[in-house]
Amino acid sequence: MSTDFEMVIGLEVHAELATKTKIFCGCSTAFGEKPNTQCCPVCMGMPGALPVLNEKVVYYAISAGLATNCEITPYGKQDRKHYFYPDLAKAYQVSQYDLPLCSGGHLDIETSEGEKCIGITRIHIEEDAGKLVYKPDGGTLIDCNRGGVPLIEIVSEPDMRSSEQARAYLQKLRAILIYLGISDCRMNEGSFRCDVNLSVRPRGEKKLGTRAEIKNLNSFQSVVRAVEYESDRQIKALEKGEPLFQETRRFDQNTGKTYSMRKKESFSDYRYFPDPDLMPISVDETLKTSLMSAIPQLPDKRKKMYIDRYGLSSYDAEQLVAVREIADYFESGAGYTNHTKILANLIISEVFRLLPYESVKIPVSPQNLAGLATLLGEGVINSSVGKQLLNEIWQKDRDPSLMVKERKLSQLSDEKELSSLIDEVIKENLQSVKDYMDGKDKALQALVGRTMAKTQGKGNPSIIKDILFSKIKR
Amino acid sequence: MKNREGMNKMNKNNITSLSVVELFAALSSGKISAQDTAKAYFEVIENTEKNTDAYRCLLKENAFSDAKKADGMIKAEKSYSLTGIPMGTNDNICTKDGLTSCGSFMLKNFSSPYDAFVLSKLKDKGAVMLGKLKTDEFAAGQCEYPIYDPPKNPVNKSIPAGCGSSGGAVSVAANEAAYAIASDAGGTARIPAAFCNVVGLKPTYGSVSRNGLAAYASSMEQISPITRTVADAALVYSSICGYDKYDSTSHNREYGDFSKTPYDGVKGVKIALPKEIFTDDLSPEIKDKFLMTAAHFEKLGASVTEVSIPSFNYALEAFLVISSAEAASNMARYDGTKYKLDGFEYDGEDVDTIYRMSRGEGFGEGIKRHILLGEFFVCSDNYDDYYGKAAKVRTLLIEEYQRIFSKFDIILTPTTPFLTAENENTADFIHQYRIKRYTAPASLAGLPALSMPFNAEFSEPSSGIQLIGNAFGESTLFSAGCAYENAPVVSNDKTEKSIGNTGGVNRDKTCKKAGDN
Repeated sequence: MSTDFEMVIGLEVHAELATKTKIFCGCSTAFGEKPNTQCCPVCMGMPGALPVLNEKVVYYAISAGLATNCEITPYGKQDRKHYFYPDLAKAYQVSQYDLPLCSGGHLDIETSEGEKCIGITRIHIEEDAGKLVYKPDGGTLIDCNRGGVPLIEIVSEPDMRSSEQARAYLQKLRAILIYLGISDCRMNEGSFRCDVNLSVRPRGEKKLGTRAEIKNLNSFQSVVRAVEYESDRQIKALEKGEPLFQETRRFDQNTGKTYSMRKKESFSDYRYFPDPDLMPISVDETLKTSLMSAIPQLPDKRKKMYIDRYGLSSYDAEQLVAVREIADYFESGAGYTNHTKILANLIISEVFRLLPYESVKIPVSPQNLAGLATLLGEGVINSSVGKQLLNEIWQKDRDPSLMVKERKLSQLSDEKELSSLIDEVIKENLQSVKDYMDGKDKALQALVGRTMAKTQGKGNPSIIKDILFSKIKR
Repeated sequence: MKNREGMNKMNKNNITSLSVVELFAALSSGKISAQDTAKAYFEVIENTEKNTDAYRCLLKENAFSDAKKADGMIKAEKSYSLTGIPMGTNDNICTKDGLTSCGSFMLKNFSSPYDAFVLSKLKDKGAVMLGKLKTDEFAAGQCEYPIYDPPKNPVNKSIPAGCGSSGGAVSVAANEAAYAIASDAGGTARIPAAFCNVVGLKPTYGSVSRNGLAAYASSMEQISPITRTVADAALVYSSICGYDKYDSTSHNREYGDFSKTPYDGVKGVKIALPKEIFTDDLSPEIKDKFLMTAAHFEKLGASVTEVSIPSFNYALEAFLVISSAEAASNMARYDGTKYKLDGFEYDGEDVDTIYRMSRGEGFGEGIKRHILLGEFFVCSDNYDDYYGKAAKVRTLLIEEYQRIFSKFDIILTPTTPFLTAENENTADFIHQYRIKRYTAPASLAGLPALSMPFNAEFSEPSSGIQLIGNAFGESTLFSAGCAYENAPVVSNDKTEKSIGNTGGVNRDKTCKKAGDN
């Protein structure tokens, strides 16, 4: 990216609230059922049907606001947002226009560039539309099951300046919502959706450039790719002197590019006015207090705890708290070992690698992984044995210390024994020794490797190295 | 049948001319059965419909089965005040039986999967529904009937039946229903009732569930009874008012039993007469009758005082803005993709074409005009100047009403400033609005309003008199209305006559309590 320009990113997230029933009627919100089996005259917008607000929706939204340091309005109202589209049953969506439930909040993120505070403009409640299903031979079908499912829309300030920050924001927001238990935030199931608003401007410039809104992003990775492509596209255009339009663009998974939706876009005037079928929402201190007290320990608090109590780095702690089940797992494991840094590292580098996409089911018990951390921390086994053991207990959960005993996997650290083995290795690899003497550092690694082989991989690598150094002086 | 002789005396004309109160007495005493009553009504309907065109569809089988059930309830002494009493329901109120077309091509063949809350309440209490009654399109009062012939005024043949719940007013006036479950937004039950010389009540907003009423002007409309007498209106209101948790605008409070309201007369009642009603378009005839009525109330012991309600002058325009905005919003869902239009083939068309085709053909001119105005009033450029201002006028009006009701019990106005027939260009759309000049303000403020025929036998067609009460003050209206209805009056030619000229039958409209004999 040209050093002359910076990108300015704002994110709009829609999260489906995990209430049992829809926002205005008693239909179930369960995902994946047969089409048009979870709808009624209310969510289908039949003549004479009237909405009744599900109070849990309000409680969840306020909780999201409290967890992100927002102001909660004492008096909120719901407005009709009008546009015509086949998946919108009443041809208007009940949303909130000028009196959203929450506003003026923020959350903290951490990236390789350090910590940053991202502002949250507002959080409001609204209803979801149905789903359109495109028939392979042409034509469109409408499934009303999703129509009326409650959503919160979380609008961030345009405070992000890189794709990494965008990703970190989404990660943190998602973690908070999951910790609160108000949404399961599954992007692949549509319960967590993100639109990107992106513009570029010369670095140092205060005014915002012309922004594009990017839709159809169904994973964090897509968000990152879309941001990278779009910022690049905009900068190139400006450098060439080409015009940029305020428009909606679609991200294509396969090509990694964004395409203008200018034809379908501009539902420009939504003709907002207050919904006459619904009463204003009044939030008093008692409600706020009771919701506040029901909030569980949020990611940032846990992160701080990990740094203070377990001595983890800020970055590592951030990785662990991103998913609540992982954080729970770590804390559970930390109860069984003093080598918490090693435990954290095992999780971040090994467990994350072994886990299938978006899964949080770790087949190793926290106790056993903690045991592994202890074995490594005490120097009983070396790291390659550790890795090997982990792979095995991943398949079948076992206490690794038993396996070490059974198979005599303890690290060989006895200097005398190692010394005699190394003598053998030197004898058998005179060429490598000569290479090393001639200045080829790599040759030393080969000798270490040979020694390790002689110990069936159990040798203590650092002691081996030390002995080699002492024997082969340059 | 207990009394064969009594039965012979009651032929179909007698039965169908009984008020709800009288019919309740006859049914309770066993003089007639619900099934015979329903039979009598269907006979009258068969003879009369060619002249009135009130019904959109008849539900004979359902009615007789309702009537049979009602007879069972009466026999078991587990009946209610409306058990076995035949009625009709507006075409824009959802019923599982029959069609709910809302008078529109858009919903011509629509059959609702559920009954309106009020109707299921009535069904449980043994009400007998004869059929669905015609309304103009969405009962909005635009006086357009795209899918059937308009109902005709059976009492005053030279004037139309009135716009909105016309079928309701006509059927009650022509003895084709003992009462009608209709709807009123800006006057759409009161005005047809006035033109047909019957009673129309727009209840306090929030006192009758709107569940099942196809939405038009959501913040103002109510399901409204049309009856022959005020006592009947009280009885019907009593059965339909009440909290509905599925209507967020429904008011949760104690409603009381209006069928047992003591009718105290009007001695000492303080009536306010807003001077703003004396506009240029108030016809001289109606003005005269109105002033005579005011004088009459004074004779009966009330005090009548002229007051000023300045926002009355802007209420009609505020109503136009708000009702149009709400209509446009509520009609948006009728787009051709969910309720397929008769004779339209969509396969292969893109969505925009479907929208354009269906909404172009499916709505009448009046509704289209309403929608276009509504979109104009709420688009972002205009919102503050139109919708915002109208909302403010509404607030002012409510405040002014509160000030009046702190000193007075009832506000008195004519129901309309003129009769439609008086204006040559009846298709004039602005004219359609001005006819709501006196009925719209109570709708805006959510206040109860009762329209009754003028208490006199006038030779010319007439409008009616409107009593507006404070919120949830229906009992005051019933009391005053009954007193007026029953008092002997001096008419134009100075002969003492009692009221009751509907269908030419002299009726005793005494406000007996339900249960008295």
